[in-house]
Amino acid sequence: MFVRNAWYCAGWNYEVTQGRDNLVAREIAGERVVLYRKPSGEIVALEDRCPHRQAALSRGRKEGDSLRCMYHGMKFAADGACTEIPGQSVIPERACVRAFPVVEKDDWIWVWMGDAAKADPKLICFAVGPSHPDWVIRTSKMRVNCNYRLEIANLADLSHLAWVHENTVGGSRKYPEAKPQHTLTPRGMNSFFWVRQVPPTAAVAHLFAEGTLFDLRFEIQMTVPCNWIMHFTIYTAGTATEGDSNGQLVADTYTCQAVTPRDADSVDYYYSWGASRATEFPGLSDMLRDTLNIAFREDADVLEAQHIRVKERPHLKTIDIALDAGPGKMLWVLDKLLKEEGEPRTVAA
Amino acid sequence: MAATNDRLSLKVTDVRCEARDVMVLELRSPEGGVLPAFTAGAHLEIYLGNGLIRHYSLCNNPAERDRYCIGVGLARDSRGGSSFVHQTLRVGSKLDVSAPRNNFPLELAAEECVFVAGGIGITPIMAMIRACEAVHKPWRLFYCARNRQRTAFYEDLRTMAPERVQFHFDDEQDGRLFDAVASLKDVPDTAHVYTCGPGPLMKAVEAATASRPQDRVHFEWFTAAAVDASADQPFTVVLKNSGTSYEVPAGRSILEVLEDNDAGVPYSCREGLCATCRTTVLAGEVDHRDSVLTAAEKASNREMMICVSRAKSKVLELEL
Repeated sequence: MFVRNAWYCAGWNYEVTQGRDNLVAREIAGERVVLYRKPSGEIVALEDRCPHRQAALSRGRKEGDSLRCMYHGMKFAADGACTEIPGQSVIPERACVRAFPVVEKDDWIWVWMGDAAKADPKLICFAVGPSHPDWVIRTSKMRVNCNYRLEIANLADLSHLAWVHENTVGGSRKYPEAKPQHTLTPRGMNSFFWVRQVPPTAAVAHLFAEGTLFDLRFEIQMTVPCNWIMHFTIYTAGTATEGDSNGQLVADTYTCQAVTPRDADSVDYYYSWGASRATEFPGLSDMLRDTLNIAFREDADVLEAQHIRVKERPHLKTIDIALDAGPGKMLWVLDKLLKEEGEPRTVAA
Repeated sequence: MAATNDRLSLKVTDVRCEARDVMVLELRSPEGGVLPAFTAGAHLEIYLGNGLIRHYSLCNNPAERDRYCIGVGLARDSRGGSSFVHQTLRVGSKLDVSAPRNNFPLELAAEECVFVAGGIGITPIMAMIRACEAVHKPWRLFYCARNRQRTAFYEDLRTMAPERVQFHFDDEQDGRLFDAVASLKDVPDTAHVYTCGPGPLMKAVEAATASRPQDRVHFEWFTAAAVDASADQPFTVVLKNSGTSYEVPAGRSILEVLEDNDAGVPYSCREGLCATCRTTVLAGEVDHRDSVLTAAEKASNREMMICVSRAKSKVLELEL
């Protein structure tokens, strides 16, 4: 169901603070994880489950680098080893919790859910974070109650912009007509396409003179489990019908999105959008983030209703259409990695 | 999902006329001995030797390890599958089949199993009934057929447990159709319902069970007929980027051949519908069989769906 040997985004790094009570509980790929910061600043990720009776360690207390379970007082070091059992002098070897490898990169927290020996930080996807000096990136997050395969299929095929995001970031029939070029990568897929001569989307139409048309460049890097990084550039419509637009550059933007499956029925979605310093003007990147907050609720409404139906008829033979090429490729890569890890293929979506 | 090479060469060891236009064939290994196990509801993919591939459900008891029995109804509008079986296969005939596959598994943990069979749809359900009988699991059968003469396994069912079977013979009902709603009214929600038969019966049961827990309602649709592959010719596919080439025999797709050689590419539908396996053609002439490309795109010969399309030329070079 989930690829184990992968970096999963556990949220924005500013969510995990030095605060006394800041113990962040997450569910990631079916595991309970508690995140906290050591006084040195390093983030710790432990299984959020006391080995004694499964109490939630995220209801515990920070003590220096350690975490104490506030049920029977067992104390665990940052590597998961138990260092104290109140009222008992001998500590059994098995009294430890699993510690997950953690890396902070691009203002995201990444947790490795598989074999720690294979946790290569080079496998973390490329992204542009809010502290990047050249970009004005704004961040947000959302919970969606659907299986992450539905999110993959949603993000690997942007033709839905025409229908789902009619009132925000889409609306034109030119999106399903775009012919994205999908290229496989070892852990995902890159997609590239232009949509030319389209009117501004509903969310930004008020900024431009009536009748203005645009050329839009989409360059997407997608990796497992469901990380989606798009370099999205807007030009006024030029005359070129192939290759680069010969219109004027309006905005150069990055939107970085990490969909982390919690369990089979929900995901945590951490995302951002913003413009380059060169093309940012006051309020632009803030508007982009706000627009995504609305647009992703539109997606969530579709996906949550879809998820309910897929669960009702998990084995229903559905039909495929030509727009499924992107989702088909990305899910194939995911299934290949799942198969290599020896897990049975899921049938959902 | 990947293509499998699990072909078995079997021998027809018995042919029996089970009812009017229904034959039961018994298949065994030519050397005798144990066959790959199957579970109730399983089917075999049968390579008919005339280029056709058909799916037939197993009707014997899954506990039997030395034989497979399939029931084959002669379709009035046979496109060459059932008529070939009825006219050509005899005791001693050799037949290539896949290992058993099951898209219609029986949930023996259920409190009760309720079966609805229409016509030759009885075949997987016979295996299920035999599996239920073996473990004394309560079951019921609603069995629709055109008339008594065409009712396969009528004698078996009459002797096995007549009280568990309710027949519906079209010619004895003054034209009234099987009433799925009324028949299933008393079936508790805890029961699992299995249906196999012609489309209208399946749809009626689907409608009648819409409000039941959907994990307890199971359907085996008659699979769509395979494309007539009898005229397919083998050809060579050359992969430019890896510098390898493979023979694509009749009856296997380019995609399957690549998968056999550990050179698989992304796919989804395997029916020429989704474009996931769209591939650039560098040389050779394509025999397009997909539903994705436009006529103009097909004529341009620049891209193809390797899950279904083949070659008109002896060699096809692809950008793979």
